[in-house]
Amino acid sequence: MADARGARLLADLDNAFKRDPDIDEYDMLPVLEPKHNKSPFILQDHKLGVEAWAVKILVKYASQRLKGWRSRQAGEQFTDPLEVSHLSRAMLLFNPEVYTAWNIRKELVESGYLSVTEDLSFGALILSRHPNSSETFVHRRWLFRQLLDTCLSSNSANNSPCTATPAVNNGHLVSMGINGVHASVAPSLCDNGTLALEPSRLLSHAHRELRLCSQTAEKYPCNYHSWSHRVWLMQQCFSSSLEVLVSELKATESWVCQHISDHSGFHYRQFLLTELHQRRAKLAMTCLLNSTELLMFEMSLVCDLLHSFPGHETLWYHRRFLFQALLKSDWLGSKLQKHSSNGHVEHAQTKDPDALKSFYVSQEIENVTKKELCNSDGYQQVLAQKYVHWLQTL
Amino acid sequence: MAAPIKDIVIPDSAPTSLMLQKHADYIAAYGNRKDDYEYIMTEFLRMNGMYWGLTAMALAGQLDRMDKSEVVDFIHKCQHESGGFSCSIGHDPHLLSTLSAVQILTLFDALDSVDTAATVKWVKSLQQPDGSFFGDRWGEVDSRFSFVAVACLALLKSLDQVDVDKAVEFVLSCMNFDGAFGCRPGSESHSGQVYCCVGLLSITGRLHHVNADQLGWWLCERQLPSGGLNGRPEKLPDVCYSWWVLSSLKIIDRLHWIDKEKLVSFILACQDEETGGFADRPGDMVDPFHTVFGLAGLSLLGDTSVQPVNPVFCMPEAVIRKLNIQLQYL
Repeated sequence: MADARGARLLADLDNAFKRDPDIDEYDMLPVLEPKHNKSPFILQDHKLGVEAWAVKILVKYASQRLKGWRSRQAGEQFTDPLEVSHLSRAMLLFNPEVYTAWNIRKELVESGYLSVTEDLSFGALILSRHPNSSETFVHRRWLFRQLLDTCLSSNSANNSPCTATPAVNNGHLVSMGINGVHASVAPSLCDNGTLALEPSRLLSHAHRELRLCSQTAEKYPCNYHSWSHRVWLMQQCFSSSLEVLVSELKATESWVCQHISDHSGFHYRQFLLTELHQRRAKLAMTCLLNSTELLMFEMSLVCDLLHSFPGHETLWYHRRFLFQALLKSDWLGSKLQKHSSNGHVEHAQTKDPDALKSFYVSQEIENVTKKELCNSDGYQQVLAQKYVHWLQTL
Repeated sequence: MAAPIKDIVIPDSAPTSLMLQKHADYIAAYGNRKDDYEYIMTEFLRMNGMYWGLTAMALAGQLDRMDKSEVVDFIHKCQHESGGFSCSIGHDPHLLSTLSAVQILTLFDALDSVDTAATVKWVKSLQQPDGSFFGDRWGEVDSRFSFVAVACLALLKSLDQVDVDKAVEFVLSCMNFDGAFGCRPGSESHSGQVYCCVGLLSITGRLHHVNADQLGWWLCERQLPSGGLNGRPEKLPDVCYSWWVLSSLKIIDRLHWIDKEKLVSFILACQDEETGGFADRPGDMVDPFHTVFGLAGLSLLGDTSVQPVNPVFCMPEAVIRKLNIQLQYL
């Protein structure tokens, strides 16, 4: 009898979404057997609760119907796209790693039965319960590629240089900056002087996506899928725009300070700093920012955190990143000049970058030895020792 | 106040010796005792799951207990016209399930029961101009897919069908300052991705691109006081990383940089004495995934009651040797 109940439950679920199209969270309710004659779907304040017994029947039903349809088994003859869409929704709500169900939705988007916007909202709902669902993020990247393609084709149709880089957020110009330096970004105008619709649509989705990444990162610590998705967004949807990179650096600063064990969050800042440093000349010109100073600012930030919160491996790794980045930056060059003018370093060393490098490595070793190796105990000391060992391999 | 280290404490009552027969029995019975719901919920992993289970049986030296014809028939039904394999019947083809299918067929010496020429063509079609591979026709890119594609072609003796130089170039673009690798350029280092990237470089003979000391150092820092290995900084130890980390260390000749004895105790402590099988951590629920990687890890650590395992393919060394596949080790 499971089949008959399955169809009923699917209809009930569809009704729940019809009654409230703005469901923003859902979860299973620990009701293992049907106890009354009422619907097992409970709606309240845009939250959907589903009794556990119903989930089992529903998922089994959706899985059988979808597979039958997918492998075109004899006797399976429904092909109403709306029903396919509802079946895949029922399946993915409780099992979001079923990539085939996501593929089915991609086909529905391609054939126009589902809109990109609708499916982005659906995925966001899934992430509210499964914040590190890999396949959900994979599907979202595909949706964004659809937006990008539309954007590109609208550009080529207009034959204008519209790009996705300038930031338009909810119709307002976005002002971004760091350390008091603000860079206002104007939206790109097409030849006829009007704002290209597609790029602004892409951008408003991409900005919303950054906020979603913050939510998933908050819900699931060290969320690899969420943070690598964010990196992808920066590269693909924002074309690594300097303004957006800078605003991200600003936006994630307090987050990492409150999540000192989240290596993924710190890695994201490493990605931002690397991108900014690679384009330091343009950064200095357009945002009036010095990438080496950004690295040094970050170094003092991480040293403060290390002092306040001893025993966190993540912070030590971040320090490693910063130290090697500084060694490669013009920090060495500037020090070189400084030293040759005040004569603190011997003449031979100032001319030889290798000698200067080992000078700074040994200085860093000395710093750590004095500060963390002698004055701390337990795990902080172990981590400091590892840092020193790492420095010695440079 | 210093923060507590993210690690576990091995309970005194935890197992200290290998219960190989129990694990073989656990895997042999695995398919029978699933209820409908759990079976459906894990179907998207079916092909991988079969590879894990069958490899575990092969490492236990008991592959002949498994029903070869049933397995081969299932795989045959999962092959699509395109040449790729899906995770199960009625699902879509993907590179991840395709490698598992090819590995199982290799294990059973049954590659001739499917259209391997079509598989090679399909894998080739997924390579992109930058050298990366799509996982399927929908265009997701991941360094895991690069390994899976190259491993698949190596087993099918068709590595010359793709642009190896470009494939290597893409994987190297995923390398970070710490010498480890992420899923895409700019992404965080992750032990699972390291295994894939190092594996690809071993198959293609390009390990000289790896900074073995730097990467080895990052990998051996994955060992925690409990002896277990984690996949990334400040994550809990997990038996599956005793495979991803250990095999990578083996390939780059830095296996001696970790405390082997402590790791062996950790892996053994993850066994379930009653049901057989390994869990991610002591006391958790067992599954075939952690069981194969537990056994493979012990094999790399020198346990001679387990068949020798190949660190690149995670298959019995004897099978890889028979195929005469050339692999590079540092």
